[in-house]
Amino acid sequence: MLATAVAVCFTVSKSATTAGLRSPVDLLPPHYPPEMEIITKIAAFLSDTITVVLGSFGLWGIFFHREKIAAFARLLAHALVSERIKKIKGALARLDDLNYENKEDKKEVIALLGELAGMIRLLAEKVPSYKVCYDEMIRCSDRTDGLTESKKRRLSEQLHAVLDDQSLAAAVTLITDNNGSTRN
Amino acid sequence: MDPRVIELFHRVLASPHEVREIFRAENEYYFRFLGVPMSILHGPRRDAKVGPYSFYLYPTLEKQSLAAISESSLTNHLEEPEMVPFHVADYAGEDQELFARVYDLMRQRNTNLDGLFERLLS
Repeated sequence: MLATAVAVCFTVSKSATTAGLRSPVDLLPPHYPPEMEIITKIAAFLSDTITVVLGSFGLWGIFFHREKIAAFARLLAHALVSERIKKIKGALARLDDLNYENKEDKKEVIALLGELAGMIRLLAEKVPSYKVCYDEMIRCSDRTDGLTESKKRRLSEQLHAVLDDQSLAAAVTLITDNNGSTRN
Repeated sequence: MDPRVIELFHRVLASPHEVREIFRAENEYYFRFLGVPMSILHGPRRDAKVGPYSFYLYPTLEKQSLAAISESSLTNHLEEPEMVPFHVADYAGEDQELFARVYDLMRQRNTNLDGLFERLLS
């Protein structure tokens, strides 16, 4: 019973804080037993204490373990980039399986080049080597430039090389940073 | 494999003057023979199961221009009955050479190579 009351009060306390009220007691019905007010105040105090403790931990982490947090952020970014690269490589594998000299494959090749251009568009805004691939792929998918099987293969290999280069660079950066932070 | 295609190739090679309009789209020549649109495609790096040449008939697209047929074969997925394919790998021996001869004929007609040599050597 008491535990339930504490839980209700705790919830009321948090809701009150979220709603921007002055006190959690404001949320209680007008006729409530006097002991409920005490329990509500205790719950509010506990809630605030926990917030302060967790906040302090957070600040302590930011001030004294900045390197580890940065390394974790880099690891997350690396995982995101790796996932993106994996998706692009999947589309490239589908492109490699097709032959532009087959009439039946032409439509799919053009569609895949457009898809790949869309996938690398954001990367192309930041990295010049992607921009070269992106521009050429867009011209081919819009059919403003003629496409041949050899050109398709060249574009595919070019993008493979850029992706491998980026994967390697990201891995090296990650290892170097981790070594640096371990030494620190 | 349809043996009538080989017969058709013999007719095309025997009466090239009946070939009207030739339209080139990348590695493929579209043409009309006796008013029927058809095309021949050359792809040296294609799979062995289809071979380097393919011939296509467009029986239901007679009223369309060759450029429009070429465009719709890229943007839409043409299937039978709009487009009927015949691949060189389905034929054997001398019949395979006919695909190459028809392709060469269209290439020569499209570039007007005979007329050019005639003018240069006269």
